[in-house]
Amino acid sequence: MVEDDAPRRAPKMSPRERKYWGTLAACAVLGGIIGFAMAFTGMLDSKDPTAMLYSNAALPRNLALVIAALWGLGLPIGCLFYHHYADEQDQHAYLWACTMGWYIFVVLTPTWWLLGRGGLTPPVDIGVIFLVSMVVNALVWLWKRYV
Amino acid sequence: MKNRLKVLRAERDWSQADLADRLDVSRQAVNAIETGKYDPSLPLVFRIARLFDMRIEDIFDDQFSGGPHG
Repeated sequence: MVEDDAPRRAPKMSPRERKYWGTLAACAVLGGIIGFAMAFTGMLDSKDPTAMLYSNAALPRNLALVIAALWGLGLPIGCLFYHHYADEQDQHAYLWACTMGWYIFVVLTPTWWLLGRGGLTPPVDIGVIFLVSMVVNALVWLWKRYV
Repeated sequence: MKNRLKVLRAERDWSQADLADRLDVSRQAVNAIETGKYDPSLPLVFRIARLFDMRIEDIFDDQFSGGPHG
């Protein structure tokens, strides 16, 4: 892990770092709002908060529109700020993370699709592939950034 | 790439956060450079050399001993 050889000194953040962490926090809040809205709708619908989060079931039209707008506009804007405030070592970690996430996507999707067509697996679930790609992306980023 | 960043920083009694502040990078970046886990870009290398008022090759060592002239 990252060693700090001056632990007794109060940690300080530069204005750039504050903006950087502010951007990440804003993205986390955005994700939380989306997750909460979907889970809340799932609870209203079936008492099961995961019913809407982890399924391909139909969503109310207005909710789908709002969430899609939040994700489709909020995420690119958040990414713009992130790339503006991230330093070069962070960008380096990000590049590695995205590359590995991409490889997971391009290897896993066709493999699963072909196995599914052969009747060896259930049909491709884009939600699972998205989740696996994101987890790999996050783990690689944490490894390159902090370990 | 090996470097003398940690020594130079200690000589000035700077923490990693102090150096990060002066270079406009994160503390994680300074740590990664010091431990040789990340090789900084050429612009950052120049900033480091200017900050310490030293030549790049006096801070960073690419352990290259050969060359066209021996």
